[in-house]
Amino acid sequence: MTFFRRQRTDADLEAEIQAHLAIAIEERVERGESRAEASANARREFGNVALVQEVTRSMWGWSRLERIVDGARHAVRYNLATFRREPVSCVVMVLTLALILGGNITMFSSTNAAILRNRPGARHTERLVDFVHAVPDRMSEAGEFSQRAYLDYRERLTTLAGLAAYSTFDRTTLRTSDGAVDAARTASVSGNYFAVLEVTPAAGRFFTLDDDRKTAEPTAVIAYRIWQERFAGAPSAIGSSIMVNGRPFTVIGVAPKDFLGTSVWRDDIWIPLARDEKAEVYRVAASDWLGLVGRLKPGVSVETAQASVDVVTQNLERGSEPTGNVRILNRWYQGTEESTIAGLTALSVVGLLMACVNVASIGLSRALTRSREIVVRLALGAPRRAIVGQLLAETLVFFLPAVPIGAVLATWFVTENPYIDLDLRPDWRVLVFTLAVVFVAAIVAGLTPALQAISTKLTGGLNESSSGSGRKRQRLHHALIPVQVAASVALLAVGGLYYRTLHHLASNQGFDATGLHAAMLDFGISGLKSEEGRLLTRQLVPLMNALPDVESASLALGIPGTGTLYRRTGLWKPGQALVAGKPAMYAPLNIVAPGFLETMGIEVVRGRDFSDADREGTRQVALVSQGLARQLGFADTAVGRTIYSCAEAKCAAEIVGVVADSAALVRTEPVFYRPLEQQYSSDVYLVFRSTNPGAVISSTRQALKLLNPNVPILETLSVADGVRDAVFYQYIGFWSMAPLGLVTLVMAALGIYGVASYAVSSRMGEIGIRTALGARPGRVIGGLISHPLLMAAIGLAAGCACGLLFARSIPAEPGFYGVSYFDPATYACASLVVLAIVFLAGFVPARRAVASDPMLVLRHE
Amino acid sequence: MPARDAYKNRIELLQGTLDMLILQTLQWGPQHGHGIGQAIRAKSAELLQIETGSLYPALHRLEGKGWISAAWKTSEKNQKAKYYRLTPAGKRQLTQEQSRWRLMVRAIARVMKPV
Repeated sequence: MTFFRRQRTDADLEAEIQAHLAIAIEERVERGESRAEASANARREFGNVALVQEVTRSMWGWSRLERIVDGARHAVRYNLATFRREPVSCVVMVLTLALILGGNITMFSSTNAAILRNRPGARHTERLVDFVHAVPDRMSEAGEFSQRAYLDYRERLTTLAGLAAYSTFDRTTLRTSDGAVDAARTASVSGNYFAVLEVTPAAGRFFTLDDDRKTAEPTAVIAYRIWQERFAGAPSAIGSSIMVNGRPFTVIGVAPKDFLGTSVWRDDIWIPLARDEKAEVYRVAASDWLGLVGRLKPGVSVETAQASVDVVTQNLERGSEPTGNVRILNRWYQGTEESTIAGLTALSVVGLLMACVNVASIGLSRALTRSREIVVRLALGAPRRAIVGQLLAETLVFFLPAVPIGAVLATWFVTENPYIDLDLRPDWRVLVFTLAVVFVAAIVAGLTPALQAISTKLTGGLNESSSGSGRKRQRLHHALIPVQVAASVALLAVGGLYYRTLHHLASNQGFDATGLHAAMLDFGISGLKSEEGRLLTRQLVPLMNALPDVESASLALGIPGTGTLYRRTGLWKPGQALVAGKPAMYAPLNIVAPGFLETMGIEVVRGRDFSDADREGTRQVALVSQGLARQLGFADTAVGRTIYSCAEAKCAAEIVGVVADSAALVRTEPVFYRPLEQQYSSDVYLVFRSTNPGAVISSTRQALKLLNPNVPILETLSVADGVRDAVFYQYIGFWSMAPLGLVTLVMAALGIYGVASYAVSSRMGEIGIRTALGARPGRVIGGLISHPLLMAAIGLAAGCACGLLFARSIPAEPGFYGVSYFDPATYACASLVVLAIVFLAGFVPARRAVASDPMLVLRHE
Repeated sequence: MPARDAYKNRIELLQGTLDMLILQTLQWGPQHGHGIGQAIRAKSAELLQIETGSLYPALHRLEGKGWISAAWKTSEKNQKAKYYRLTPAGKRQLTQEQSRWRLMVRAIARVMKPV
C-alpha cells in the first residue's frame, strides 16, 4: 500500500518539476528568447533535477523500511545507469569478482575437505593417530608397514584402544549380480577397522575379527555411493553376492554416506585383509604394505603414545622393522599430501588478500569519480548515514551477480577437477566461509570509500577541480597501487618459476611422450597363472607390432613420467653383506619386455637392451640408468658387473647395459630395469606409439579376445596426459599463479590509469599553460607520471621480496625442479612485464593531456 | 564543535525564513512553485533568489506540516501546474511568524543602532 502511494508521489514530483520547467520556458519565450535558448536557460536556472527530487523526497518523512527500499531502488537505478555507460568495465568487474570468489570457494573446499573435515564418518577423531616412518634417501615419510610390524604393534601397544590396518588395491573390478562390470577402488582392512574408527553402518553390519579369517565366508562392505548406484539403495543389497576381481563376496553392510575410507582416495569396497591375495606374497617378502590407524585410550596423549611406540619399535623382530623413525600423528594427511594442502591453503589466503585489495580498489576508484556528487549532496544537507548506506548498497549490487557466478565456477572447478579425489562437496563451513568473504569484501569495497567520501571538507571538495586539493583523499588509493603491483610481481614470478619447472621437466623427461599410449592389463585379476601370463605377453607384443597403425609396441610394469612407476627395490652391491633391509640404496624398479626402451625413445648409452634370449633359466640380467650407475659408484664400468635386487644369492643379476635417465614420477630418477621374462609381473602396461590409438586399442581388444577371453583392458591412457597429471602440482601452481597475477596486474594498471587520469584532469589548466608557454611534452609527461612510476617501483621491489619469500615457502617436493626459487631471470621477466604495463597505464592519460589544445583547455577552465 | 553548531544555526535560520516567505507569498492566493519563486524574487527587487533545491523541499515540508495544501490546476495560460494554498493552520502560523519577525527586526535594529 505504502509502496503504491510512493510510486504516485514520485510521479507527482516529477510532473511538478516538469510543469515548473514548462512555465519557466513559456515565460522566457514571451520575453523574446528562442525556444531552444529558453529551454536551456530554464534548465540551467532550475539546476540538477535529480538532486532537487532527492532532497525534496527526503522531506516526506517515510518509515525506515520505505527509506531502505528507496535506497535499494536508487542503488539499482544507479548501477544500471553505470552499466549502460560503461558495460565492458562493469562486466569485467563482475567477472573478476566472480573468478576470485570461485577460486576462493574452491580452495577453501579443498582445505576444508583435507584438513578441517578430519576423517568424515568417523567419531572422536581427535583420538585417532596415523603411523608413518621415515624412508632413507627420501625427504618424505611413508605410511606403510609390514604385517609382522602391524601385529606386534597391535599386541604390544597398551596406550592404544585399538589398531587397525588397511591396504588399497591399485585397481579392481566390481561385478554385481545384474552382470554390470565397473572399475572400483577396493581396500582390504583388518577386522577391527570400522570398530577402531567408530563408524556406524548405514545398513547391515561391519566386519568383526571373525570375518578377517581365511576360514570365514568372504564378506564385503560397500560404500554408500555403490549402494545407491548399483543397488538403488535397496535393503536387499545386504546378503547379495558381488564379484570383486572375479572372486565372490557377500555384502554384509553399507558404510555411511560421508565415510570415504582412510587413504587419500575414495574407497568403494572394503574386504577383510585375510581375503587379500597380496597378503601371502607380502608376508613372505616382509614388505611394507599396510597403512596403520590407531585409537588412543581415553586420557592418553599423543606424546605418551609416541613413547610407547618408540619402545615397541626398538623391539620389533628383525626384517619386519620399518626403515626409519616411526612417528604417530593425529592428522589425516602427512608428507606430500600435507605440504600440498598447506600450499593450497597458502594460495587461498593469498587469493583472498588479493580479492580484498582489488575489491577495495574498485570501490575507491568508483567513489573517487563520484566525490563531487557526494560533496554536493552533503552540502545540500543529505544525511551522511544515507550516503554511506547508498554506497554500500551500490557495492552489494555489484557483488550480487558475482556470487552465483562464483559459486557456479567453484562447483565446476570442484566437479570437473580430475586430480583431487577428495570429498569436495560444499558443507556448512564452505557456506559460512563464502558468506564471510562476500561480506568482508563488500564492507571493504563499499565502506572504505564511503567513509573517506563523507569525511571530506565540503568546500575543498567543491573547489577541487580548480585547486587540485582532492589529492589527500586519494591517499588510500595511492597506497593500494604499490600493494597491487607487488602482488602481481610476486604472483607472476612464482607462476614463472612453475612455468620454468614445467618446461624443464618436459625437456628433461628422457623420453618422447608424443603419440605414446598405454593400456593396462592385469592377468592376476583374471586368474591367470604366471606361465599363462608369460605366454600371453610373448604372443601379444609381436601381434601389436604387426598392426599397421603401430610404430612400436612393448610391455612394462610402469611408464616413466606418469606416476605408474612406483615400485621401488633395494639394491645390494657385490662384496656387501647381504642383510635384509640394509641395501646400498633404493631405486624405482621397472620390469620391461625387449623393445620397451626403443618404444619409449630411451637411449641405450652403453652395452645392450634386453633381448628375446634373456629368458627364465638363462643368466639373470639387468639394466641401470646412468644416474643409478653413478650412484652405485660404477661410473663408466657398470656393464658386466653384478648387482643384487634382494638380500639373497638368487637375486644376483648381471648389468648388461646402461641407459639414459628418464623421469620416474616427475623428475629424472635413477631406474633399475629387469626383463619381464625373468621377473614376472601379473600387472603390466601395454605401451605403444601410434597416431591412431583408438584403432590400435580396438584391434588389441579383438586380439586379446582370441588369445585369452578372460583378460580385459582395464584402462587406457595417453602418456602425454599421464605426464601432465604427474606434474599436476606444478601445473596447477602455474595456472593459479599466472592468471591471478595477470588479474592483479590489470587491477594495478586500472588503478594507475585512474590516478594518472585524475592527476591530469585536475592539472589540465597548469598543463595547458605550460604547453602554451613552450614546455617540452617529454618533461610535462615525465612530471605527470613520475609519481605513478615511483609507486610502481616501490611495488616492484616489495613484490620481488614477497615473491622470494613465497617461493621459498613452497615445499621442495613437489616444488620447483631445474630452477632455483631465486632464479634472477624469472624475477627480472616478471618485473619487466609489470613495469611495461604500468608505464603504459600512466603514459596514456599523460600523453592525451599534452596532446590536447592548450587554448581549448584554458577556455574550459 | 562550536563551529559546527554555528553552521547548523545558519541553516535553520535560512530555512525558517524561507518558510515564512512562502507563507507570506501565498496569502495573496494560490500559486505554483515557479510562481512563488518568481514572486519572492520580484518583491525583494531581485535580491533574493530562491534555489529550486531549497524551494521544493520547503514546499513539501510545509505541506507535510499541514500549513499549505496542494492541488493540480490549469493556469490562465492553459498550463497544468501544482498550486499551493494556505490552510487555516497555515494562516495561523503566518501571523505567528509575522509577529516573531517584527520582534526580531526590532531587536536586531537595536543592537545594530549606533549609540
